[in-house]
Amino acid sequence: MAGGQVEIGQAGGLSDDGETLGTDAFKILSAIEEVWCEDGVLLLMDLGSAVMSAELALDMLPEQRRQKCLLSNAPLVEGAIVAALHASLGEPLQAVNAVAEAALSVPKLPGAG
Amino acid sequence: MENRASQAGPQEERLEDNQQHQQSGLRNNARNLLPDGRLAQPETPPQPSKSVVVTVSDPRGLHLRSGRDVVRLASQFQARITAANLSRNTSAIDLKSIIQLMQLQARQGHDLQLAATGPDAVAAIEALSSLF
Repeated sequence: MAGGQVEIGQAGGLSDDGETLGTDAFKILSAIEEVWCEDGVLLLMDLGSAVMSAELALDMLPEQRRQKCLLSNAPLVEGAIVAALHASLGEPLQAVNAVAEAALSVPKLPGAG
Repeated sequence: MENRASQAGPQEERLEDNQQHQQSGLRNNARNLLPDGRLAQPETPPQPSKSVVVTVSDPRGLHLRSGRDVVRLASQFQARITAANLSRNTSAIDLKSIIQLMQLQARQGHDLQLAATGPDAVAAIEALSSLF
């Protein structure tokens, strides 16, 4: 996340072909390894078991890398967009997560919420 | 014109008030000194600030990609920079946050008020104005 390019990986689906609804900790783990960067990796999740699987994936990481990963409470779509943009500005992981999580409280429609 | 005149009145009064305070401050300087000789309430110098109204020219409005350029540029300045969509009557948002910028829902022709406060406020507003 040192400014400019931001690597984004995805890990959706339970089975190898990704066609079964669910999440797979091993898929998440390999996605983290794929986009790995010393500045850290922010994990965005949707509902349900995604959080549990992401936690499992973190458990499987070496301690040194786990410390640089952050589970985000941000909404998946808005959070991904906001996080990618702010990460491309070279902001540190915690700051990127903060703006992504702020997207939780932002109404899409003017005057809503 | 009447409005301007009535605005100028209180400002002139405030200026006079300030001068009076400064004069009385000079006279009463000794009271404001602490035992160690420092001033009890040193006045912090006012931060430079600058404000401008820009009109969105992009036919697609202020969308995510153009918004990114705005946030990227704004982030390069130390100044606190805000923007409000005058056409939608929104409150001022932090221009260094893309999610807040999107809240302005700025379409082509909308007037945005940009305001910056900080050491590089003037440069920030000048640079940002060129993006709209």
